[in-house]
Amino acid sequence: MNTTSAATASPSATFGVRPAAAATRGAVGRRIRGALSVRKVGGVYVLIMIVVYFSVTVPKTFPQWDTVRQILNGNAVSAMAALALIIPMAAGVFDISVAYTMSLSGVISAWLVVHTGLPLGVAIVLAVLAGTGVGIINGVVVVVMRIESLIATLATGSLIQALITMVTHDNSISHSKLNGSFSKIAQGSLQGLTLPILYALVMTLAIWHLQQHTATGRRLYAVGFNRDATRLAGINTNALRFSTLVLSGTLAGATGVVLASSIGSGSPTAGTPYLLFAFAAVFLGATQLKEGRFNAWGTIIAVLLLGTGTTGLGLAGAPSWARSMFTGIVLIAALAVTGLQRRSVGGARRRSWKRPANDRDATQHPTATVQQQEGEQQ
Amino acid sequence: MNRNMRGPRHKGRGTMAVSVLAALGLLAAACGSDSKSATTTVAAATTAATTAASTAATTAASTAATTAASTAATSAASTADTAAADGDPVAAAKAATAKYEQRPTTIDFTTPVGKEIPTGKKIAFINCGSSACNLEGDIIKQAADVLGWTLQVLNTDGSPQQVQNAWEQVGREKPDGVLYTAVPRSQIGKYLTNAAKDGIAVAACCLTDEVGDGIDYIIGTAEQAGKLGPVYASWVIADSDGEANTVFLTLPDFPILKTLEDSYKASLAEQCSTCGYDKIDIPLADLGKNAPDLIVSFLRSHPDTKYIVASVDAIVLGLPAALKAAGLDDIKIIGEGPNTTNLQYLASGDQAASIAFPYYEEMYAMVDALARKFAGVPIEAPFDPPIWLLTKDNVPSTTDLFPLVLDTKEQFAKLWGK
Repeated sequence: MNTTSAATASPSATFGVRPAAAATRGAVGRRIRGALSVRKVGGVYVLIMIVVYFSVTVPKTFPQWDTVRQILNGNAVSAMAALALIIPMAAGVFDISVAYTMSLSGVISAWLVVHTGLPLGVAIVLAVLAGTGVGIINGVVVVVMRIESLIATLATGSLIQALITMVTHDNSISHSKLNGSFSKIAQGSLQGLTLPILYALVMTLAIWHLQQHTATGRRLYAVGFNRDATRLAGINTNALRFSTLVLSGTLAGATGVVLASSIGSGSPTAGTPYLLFAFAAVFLGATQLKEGRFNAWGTIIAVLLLGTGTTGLGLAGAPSWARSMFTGIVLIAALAVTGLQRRSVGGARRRSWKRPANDRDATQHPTATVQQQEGEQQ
Repeated sequence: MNRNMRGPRHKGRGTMAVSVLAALGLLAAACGSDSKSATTTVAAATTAATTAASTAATTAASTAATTAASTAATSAASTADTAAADGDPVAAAKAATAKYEQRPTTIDFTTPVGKEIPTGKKIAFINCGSSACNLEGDIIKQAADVLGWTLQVLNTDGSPQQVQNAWEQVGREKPDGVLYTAVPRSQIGKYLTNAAKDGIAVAACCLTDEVGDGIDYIIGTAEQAGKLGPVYASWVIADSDGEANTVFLTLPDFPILKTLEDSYKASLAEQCSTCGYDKIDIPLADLGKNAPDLIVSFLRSHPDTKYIVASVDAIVLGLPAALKAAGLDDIKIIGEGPNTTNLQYLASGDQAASIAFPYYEEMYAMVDALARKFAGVPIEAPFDPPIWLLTKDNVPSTTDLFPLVLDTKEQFAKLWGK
């Protein structure tokens, strides 16, 4: 939009306000309105409505600091699991093995603490590195062997579970040694907020920075939108896809250690219940803030939205099926929004390409986006 | 690109509105639902105290007669009798709890086989794939070795398809006997019929099914599960001095737990007029992730409830940390069927009590049934498995599951003439 002409036509110009200042205020206003639009942060509005609803219907227990604490504490590990998925998803790569990697690293960390004299820090690092190893294997299978990521990581997930079962005989690893410093990893708290909240926040900031403020982040999105076009633009898409799987494996490894600390044992199946929720949160998060893009803060909004709804239902004494139904309905609605957005994008793109070449916005093509944004950063 | 990627505003807004309305509509429907289990404060009947006392005494005396060979247990039962006779249900509950906390010393199983048990038999165990089933396989192997039999373990992941595949293999290989756990007849009915036709002896555990139509012996029946209800009730009454508001956690997917639920509810009502009962149905899919949050929500909305009674210990995995994080430091947990994590919870005080599952005793009893069938003597009626209430003070291990009766193997071997 031509902001200069808009400013000229504004009432402020009529009353003697300098056109440039008015234009600036107008641009800021539009930016704020855009940032707060229902399409950008619809989940936040739904979240607010849920908070208002439960504050009215469950006034004794819901509108309290304890509820905030419960929602944050209860969903921090879920948020970490979801965040581990974002980077590969942004690059168009599914990593189903994340949940199994969580189980693996949890078991390894517990085993190392119980059965070896290694310092806790070393045990944690080794467990996280096991996740990195899984990521490397995933990278080989998906990128080098060119097997579809959904199937490939499902297969590696099965292999991981088989390995865990072979070693543990499906028995949880428990010992009094896990009650000491190891338990503090997840059960330590500050002002009633447990440490996994801090971990999730750090992960969110790191992923947000990577996606929004680095060339690599832009390239990852480009790979996700159109891998062939991105490759033709000279970007090593294979290296990027490989690295996303290594990163997700590492983050899942760290999340598994936190989960094991939370449970107080190395459970061979601890991670698997987090798989569906993590994907649900990531897909729902893609409808927030960045419209159709898998992003960190959108995922956090999604986790809080789902967590607040289910906690509110629990406090209201709703039957157990209500929680699942709530999650299902919110997801369908959110994915419907995403579908509409994508169809709209497709329509807009087709319409714009019918215009003369010199009339098009350079950012209409994924590769052009990368090139332009990298140029901006330089 | 971003601007061009945006669709018409009205479409996104409309869909989001649908989302909002759908979600809030659901909330309204769910919260208006009547299916939430209402808090049931146990009504005090005019003769409740007397009835409760006599029931506690009867239960305690009955169990004592069958399991308590030790002097301590007999003494405890006697104390329970006295307390009950005095009309003090709390004292009766404390006496009963003291008895349950004594490690049982005998299997309630005294009839020798009396005939030579054939050696060289080949039996199969259908492994459900869980850690408990793996342990059961190990115990059965131990018992089979005593009798000179060969055990073939047919591993499955517990899914109906794989379980049926295992039974197909049984049909092809025709072992002399088959052992399995926790698979309802509805899944394997035709295979059981075929096994009966082929003369294959079948013993099972942990079922609500009846003996017959291909099943020769069942231990761990619904009736036996119901006998744990009074154990829960005694403990919460004893620990709370008769002022416990409790919430029972159960998995509706397992019908056998309904018997336990009914038994606990009835026992609590009979023994404690001032105690409260409530219930949460935990969906199986919520185990391991959502269950702790669901329970914490309940406890926050029911601040008088201080006792969690879990039908199976698996429900409370991860719960102690969630309770601590929510500042709920005065909640006490009792469960049943601990795994090693629960044993560690007991040792650390995160879980107050747990009723140990008699894996060894029940697996040996299944093998005993096959032994009697092969020897041509009548199969004994299912015995009442021993009961042992574990606490921080008496948990013997946190790293391995163990027999309740320390010399279970030797006591069965003696019955078998080995």
